[in-house]
Amino acid sequence: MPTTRVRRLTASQREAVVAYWFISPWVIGFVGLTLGPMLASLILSFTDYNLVSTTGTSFVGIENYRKALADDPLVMQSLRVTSYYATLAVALDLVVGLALALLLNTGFRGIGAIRTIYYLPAAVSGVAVSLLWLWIFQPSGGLANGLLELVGLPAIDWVYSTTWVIPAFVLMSLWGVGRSAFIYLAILQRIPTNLYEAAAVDGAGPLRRLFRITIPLVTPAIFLNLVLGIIGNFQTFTQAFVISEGGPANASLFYTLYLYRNAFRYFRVGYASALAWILFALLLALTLLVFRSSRRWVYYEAGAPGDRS
Amino acid sequence: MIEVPPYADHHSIKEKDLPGLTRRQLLQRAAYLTPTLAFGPALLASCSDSEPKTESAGGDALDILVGFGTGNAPEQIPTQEELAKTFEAGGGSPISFRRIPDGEEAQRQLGVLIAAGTPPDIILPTGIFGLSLYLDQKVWLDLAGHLRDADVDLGLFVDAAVSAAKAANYYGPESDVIIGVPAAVFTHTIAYNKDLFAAVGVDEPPQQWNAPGWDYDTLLEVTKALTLDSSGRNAAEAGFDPDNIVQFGLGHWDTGLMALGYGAQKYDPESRKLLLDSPENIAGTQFGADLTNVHHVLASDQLAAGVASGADDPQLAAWKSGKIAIIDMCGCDLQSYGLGNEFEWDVAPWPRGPERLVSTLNLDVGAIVAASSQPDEAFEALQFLLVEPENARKLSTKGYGAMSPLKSEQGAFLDELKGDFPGVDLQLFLDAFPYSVNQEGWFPAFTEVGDLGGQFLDPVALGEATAAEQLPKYQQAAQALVDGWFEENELPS
Repeated sequence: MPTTRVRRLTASQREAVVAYWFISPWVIGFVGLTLGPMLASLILSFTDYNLVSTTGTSFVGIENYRKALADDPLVMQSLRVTSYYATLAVALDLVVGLALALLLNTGFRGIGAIRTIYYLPAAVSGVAVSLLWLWIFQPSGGLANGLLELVGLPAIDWVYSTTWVIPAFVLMSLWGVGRSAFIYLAILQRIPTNLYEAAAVDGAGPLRRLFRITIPLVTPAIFLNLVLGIIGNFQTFTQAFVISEGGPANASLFYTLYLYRNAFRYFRVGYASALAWILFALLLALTLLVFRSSRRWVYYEAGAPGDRS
Repeated sequence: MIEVPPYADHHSIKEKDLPGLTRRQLLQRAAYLTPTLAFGPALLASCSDSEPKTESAGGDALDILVGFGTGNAPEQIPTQEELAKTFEAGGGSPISFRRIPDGEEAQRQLGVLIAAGTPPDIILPTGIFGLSLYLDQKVWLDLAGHLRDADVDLGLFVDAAVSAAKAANYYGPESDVIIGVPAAVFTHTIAYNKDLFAAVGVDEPPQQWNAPGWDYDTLLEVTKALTLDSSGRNAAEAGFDPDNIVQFGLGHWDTGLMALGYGAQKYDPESRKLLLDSPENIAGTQFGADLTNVHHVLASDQLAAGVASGADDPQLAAWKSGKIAIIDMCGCDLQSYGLGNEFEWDVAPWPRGPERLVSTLNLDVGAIVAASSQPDEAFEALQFLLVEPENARKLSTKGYGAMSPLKSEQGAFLDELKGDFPGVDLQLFLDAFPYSVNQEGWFPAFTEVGDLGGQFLDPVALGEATAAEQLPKYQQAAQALVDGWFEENELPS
């Protein structure tokens, strides 16, 4: 009777199989639910695919891209709005995040509770947060104007004003500043105290120590927060969708909101896909720019590029 | 016995250790698999549109999507369910209701369901706005043949309802195509707080439509007297403080409609031109904006929130707390704005504009999705629900809180509601028909032109620009969309 020889896997092979078995859910999920749709949208961006139309789909070449970049004034409007918001939000996030981290790094009593409070927003639904801020920004009876009134300043129409809607969203973005603060904090806690002691002995004051020791040493965190901030803020959607629906007068028409409208309101999925890839290209370019510039201003202790020692 | 690998192997898996399944081979296989998994959905998605979308989500059961308008309130559901059971008991297909509480979400889901090849069979009810959103994408089934075969006399319905369901701007005025069976109609009146009128000593509005002297100017005069600041001065008095208003003369009001009173029209199908910058539209739009920004008598949402804060719907809260004297009253709002008020109130006709007397007409229909796999069964259900007089009356009044579009059944609306609203002249809702127009009819680039409106009209509403400055810009941008639509599409011949 013939026998089948079963080849036994070595321990290393078995370990490799197990490893791939364990990562396979993520890989399958990534390929099927992220990479697949991405590639689908790339293909669709060269078509006139309409979600509900019963007429066929045609290949239109780069027409969607040409239309978006040359013919559609709302694309430019949404890019202006998004860039304005992202610039303010990223800058504020970098500054306030660092300030908060410096405060948290002092180790005062109750610091644990404060840290938890600042991280809580990360666990709260964006829609719920938006509704909360909608109340805060109510011109009459809202908390924001109540505070302005306390200090004798006039009331502001906030999200009902073409001038103030974006600044209102920028203030709202501070709700999530805990994320960047924690990144700063991780690095701050690794800065050797002897650097500060030596600087103090040499007569350096607090500001000098901040600008000559702390900030150079946290530049890797600034770099990371800058990259994450650019990518995240250019994709802002929920606030505008829930609170202002792009208004008033399209003053809060964020790029992703306009993209969404094209896909799920006008059902022009082909065009919306092109908009998505334009945003991807833009973010990629900005990120590469930041990476390239980082050689000049990011300080790595281990003598990486940009080492100023 | 299980062989435990040496610790070092955990950290150093080398290709030479994996003769039958090297890392390189695994990566190669992954490289082959990745495009398959990635492009598979891509190709399916891109090809799906060319495939006929014929399957119904519910199989044999008819899938009715409820969410394009009214129909999901708890008190409305039992009537719909009861009629569905009666239909099934009489040999009709079973009916399952797909309820989506949010209108915009319902519209999105219809798109996704159609794209997925699992469309609902019927949308019931949907307003004309909902029909218009999908009209030129041929989502709706033409019911003319079914109606003819079933010998349904369209003359039984209110003319405006049939006319709106024919979508003449798209199919043409002579076409027989009809894409909805009328299901419900809502006319509008105004409602006013009698106590506030009495308190300031202003005459109440007339109780019949087209009464002499009841026009926009009178409305402005009356609402000025009814708008009070914190020191008790009204909006017509010297020293009135518009920053501290505690009571508004007007609220919950469609200023867009006021342009119609000036004789404005939105679109001319003959010339294929929008008419957004017509002198009539400019004058009417400016008058509507001035009610808030110049005369300070009309509460915008944010101003209403200032006199009755803390509510999801500031206009409703302001009216309920007696801070607004006059509102637009849709028949569809009678329950929310009319019940439980702690003040005396009544309804009155809309005032006449400089050119004509006009009020709003909201129409709901039942429509069949063209991709339905059971169009005949779906039509049977619509016929049972919307053409059989007793069922149509029950569904419109109890199922949707509306008037029946069947002329013979409209009196039931009064019978149904008069017990809840003693002392309110509900007959005015029936008398409103000759003056009521539906404003939701399709025109090219319907959704895009509507969305663009905010960009140009918000500054007018906020008092940051005039209608004369903004509407020509709106006209130019919107007409470009209409022209673009005609470049890419054709009207059905």
